[in-house]
Amino acid sequence: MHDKNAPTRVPPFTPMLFAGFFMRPIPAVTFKPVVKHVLARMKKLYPEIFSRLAILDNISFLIGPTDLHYRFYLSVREGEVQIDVGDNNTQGHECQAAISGPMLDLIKLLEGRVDGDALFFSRTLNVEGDTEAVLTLRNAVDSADVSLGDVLAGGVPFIKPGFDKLLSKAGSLLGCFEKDFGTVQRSILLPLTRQMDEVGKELDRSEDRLGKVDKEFVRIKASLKKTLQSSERVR
Amino acid sequence: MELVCPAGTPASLRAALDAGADVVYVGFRDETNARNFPGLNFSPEELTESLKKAHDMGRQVYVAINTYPQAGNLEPWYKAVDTAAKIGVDAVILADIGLLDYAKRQHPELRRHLSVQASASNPEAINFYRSAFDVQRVVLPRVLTVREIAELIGEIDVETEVFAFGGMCVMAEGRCSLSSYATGKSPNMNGVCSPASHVEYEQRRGKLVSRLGEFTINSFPNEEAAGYPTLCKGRFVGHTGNPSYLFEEPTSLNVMMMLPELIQAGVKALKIEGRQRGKAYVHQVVSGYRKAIDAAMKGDPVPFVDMGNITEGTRSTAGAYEKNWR
Amino acid sequence: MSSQEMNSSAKLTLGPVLYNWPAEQRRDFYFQIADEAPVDVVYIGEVTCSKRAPFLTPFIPEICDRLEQAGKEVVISTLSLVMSKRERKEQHELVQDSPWLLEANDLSAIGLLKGRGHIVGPFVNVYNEDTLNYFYHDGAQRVVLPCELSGKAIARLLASNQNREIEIQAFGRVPLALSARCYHARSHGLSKDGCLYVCEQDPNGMNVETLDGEPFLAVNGTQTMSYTITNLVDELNNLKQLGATHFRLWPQNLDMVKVSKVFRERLDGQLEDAAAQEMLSEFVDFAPFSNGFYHGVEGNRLVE
Repeated sequence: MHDKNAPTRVPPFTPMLFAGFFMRPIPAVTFKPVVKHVLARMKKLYPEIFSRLAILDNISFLIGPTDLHYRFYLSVREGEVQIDVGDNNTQGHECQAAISGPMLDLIKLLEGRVDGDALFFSRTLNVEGDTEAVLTLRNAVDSADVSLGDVLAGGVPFIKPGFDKLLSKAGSLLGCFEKDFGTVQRSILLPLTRQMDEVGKELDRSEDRLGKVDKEFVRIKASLKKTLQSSERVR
Repeated sequence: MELVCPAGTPASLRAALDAGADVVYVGFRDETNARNFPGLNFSPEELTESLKKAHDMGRQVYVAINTYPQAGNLEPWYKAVDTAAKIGVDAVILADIGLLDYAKRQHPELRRHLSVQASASNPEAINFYRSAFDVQRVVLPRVLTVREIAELIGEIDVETEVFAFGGMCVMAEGRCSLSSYATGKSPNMNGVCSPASHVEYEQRRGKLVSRLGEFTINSFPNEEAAGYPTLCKGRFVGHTGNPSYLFEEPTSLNVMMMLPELIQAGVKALKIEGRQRGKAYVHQVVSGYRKAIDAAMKGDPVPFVDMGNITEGTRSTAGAYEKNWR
Repeated sequence: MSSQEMNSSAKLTLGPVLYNWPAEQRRDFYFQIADEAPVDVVYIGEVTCSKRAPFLTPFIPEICDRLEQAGKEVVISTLSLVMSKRERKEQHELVQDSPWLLEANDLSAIGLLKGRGHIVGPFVNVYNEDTLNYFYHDGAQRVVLPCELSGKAIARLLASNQNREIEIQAFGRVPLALSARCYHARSHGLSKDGCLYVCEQDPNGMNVETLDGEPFLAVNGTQTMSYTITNLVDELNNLKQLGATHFRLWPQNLDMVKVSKVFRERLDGQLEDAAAQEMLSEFVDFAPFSNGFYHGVEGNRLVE
C-alpha cells in the first residue's frame, strides 16, 4: 500500500469537514510538534499500549481522517513507535496498513468511547492492507483508558497555555454539531438519493452480467486445474 | 442469575466491573485460549492485579484455557492451569479431556467449568464430565432450544451457563475445522477462527470484498452493514445458483427478551461473548444486561435496550434458542 | 517391496456412509463391499442426521451378517451430534442392545460405553497424548484421529500410544463441521423439520461455491464437508511405520471397491506411490485431491 492510495471516497459530511475548510491553508508541518508531543505523552501515560504493540515488527500505518486533508503515519520499528503527519499529497511514506474514518470517530476510538468492530460493521471505519496489524493496534490502544484531556494537560509546546482547554471545548462543540449535520445532510441529499437509487439499480444489473462472466472464468480455471492435476499424475 | 462478561484487556475488565458484571472471564496472552488474537489478553501480572480489583469489589474472575493442548507440547497448557491456580482465580474454563484430568489431579481445589468448546449438548455427555472430572458448571453449546435447555437442566446436577449476547457460532463449537480448512489455523488448535492474519479487505467495483486465505467470503455494497470475515457468515452459492447466506447471516445473538424463560428454565449464569471487542462494547452490553437481569429477577418486564449499533451486521437473532432457527 | 511392508498388518477400514443414500442403495453398496472390497473393517450407521436413521435401521442386521460372513469386522457408528430426547433414547437402546462393537462419535456415547470395549470416532476431539491415553484407559480399543491434525501431531500421538490401535482418515471428503441447523434444507428454502429429505439429491454432498464461482465446501445436511477429497495414499507407508494400524476410506458415490484395491495394494507394497496416485485420479473425478491438513497447512491444499 502506498501513499497514492489515499482515501479517494467522498468525505463524510461532518463538522470536521467544515472545520477542515478553514484549516486548509495551515500546512501539516505546523502540527508536527503537537502530534509528536501527544505521542511522547501517551508513551509516558500509557506504557501498556506500547508493550502490546511490541509484537509488531517493521510496520507503518496510515491513519487517514476522511473529513480532513491531513494524514497520520504511525510506524513501529524494533519496538520503537513513531508518528508523523502530512498533507494528502505528502510523498515518501510506505504503509502496510491503512485505517480511515471521520476524525471524531477516530478520536473516540483512541479514547475507547466507541467499539472498533461496531464502527467497522456500520462501514464508518475502513480498513485496508495488513488486517492483523490493524487488529493489534486496535487491541493495544483499547488496553488503556486513554483521555486526550490528560494527554494535553500541562500544555503543548509551541502553543499558548490554556489552548488545551480550548481544544477540549472545541471537541465537545464539534460533538454537538455532529447530529445537526446529519439532519442537514439527509434533507439536502434526499432528492439526489432517489435518483442515485435508479442509477444504482442499473449498475447492479450490469455488474451481475460482469459477475457471470467472471464466474465462468473461475470455473474454467478450476476445471483446468483439475485436468492439470490428473495429467500430472498420469505423467 | 450470574452475569459473566468478557474482557480482552485490563481496561475492558474494569469497564465490565463498573457496568455491573458479577464475573469477568479472561485468557492468557498465548495459544491456550480461544481468543488468541494479537495485542489481546492478560499477562500473569495483569491477571493478578485485575483479580485483586474484582475481589475487592466482591466479584469474580474466571480464566478460559479452552483450546486443545498440542501433541508433544503440553507444557503451555499445564503452565496456564498452574498459574491460574497459583493466582487464585475463581474458576478455570477447560475443554480438553487430558487437561481436565490434569487440573483435577494437580489442583483438586480449583473450580473447573466445562467450556462451550467441549460441545456437551446432552445430559449423558455432561454427566460424563461431571463424574470423570468433577466439573461444577457447563457452558452449553449454542445448539439447544430454551425448551431443550430446561429439560436438560432437570437431568444434570451441574450448574449451567448459556450464551446471551454476541458473536454466534452456527456450528457445534469445538467440532469445527472450517477455519483450518481455509487458513490452516483452527479454534481448537490455535485459538483463532478465520484469523486476521489471513483476512484481506479490498475495494472491488465499489464494494467491500472480504477474503479469507484463497477464498472470497463476502462482498458488501457500500451502504450495507458489514460483518466479521468468519467463513460461516459469508455469502456463498449453493443449490439455487444464487449467492446467499447459506450458513448464517452476519448477525449477533441477543436473548434479552427471553430472559424470563431462561430464568424459569433454571439457568445459573448468562454469558456475554466478545473478549476481542473494545471496552466500549463491554460497557454497553454489560450495562444493558445488568438492567435487564435486575428487572427480570424482580419479575418486572424486561426493558428494551437498543444494541443495534454494536451487533454484527447491525442486527441480532435469538439463534438456536428458537426452534425455527434450525 | 520390502519384506517389512509385506509382513505388517495395517488394516483398511470403510467409514460409515455420511450421505443420505436411499436405504436399498446402501444395502446393495455394503453387499458389494462384502463380496469384493479388500477392507478389513466396515463401519455402518447413521452419523449425520437422526431423521435419516429409520430408513437404514431395518437393513442393518442383514447387512452386518453379510459383512461378517465375508470376514469383515463390523462396527456400528453412533450419531455425531446428540440433542433431542428421541436421539438420546435411540442411543441408549443401541448401547444396550448392539451385538456389534460401537464407534462413539459424541461424549455421551463415550460415557455410556465406559469400561466396555469401543472405538473413539473421528467426531471426538483427540488432539494430544493425555486425551488419547485417557480414552484407552477408559476402555477404547481404537481411536480414530480428527481430520485437522498434522502429520507431525499424528507422529507424536503414534509415539505415545503404547502399541494400541490408531486409525487415520486417509481418503474421501472429510466432515469439517456439525450443526443443529440443516444447510441442505436451508439452501432449498426449507426448515430442518420440513426438509423433504432434499439431501438425498446429492450423493456426494452439495457443492458450495464462493461469490467468484470457486468451489469451496460441500454440504451434507447438518454437516459441512471439504470440497476437496483427502488423499493420503502417498503417506500410508510412512504412517504405518510410525505405528498407524488402520486407515479409513470415507465412502463416496464412486467405485469404492476400486479405491480400496488401490489402497490395499499400496499398503501391501504391490503398487508404488506414483502408480497408486495415477489410478486414483483416473476414477476419482468430481473434485481435486488435497492433503493440506497432513502437511500442517490449509486443509484444502495439495502439497506435492
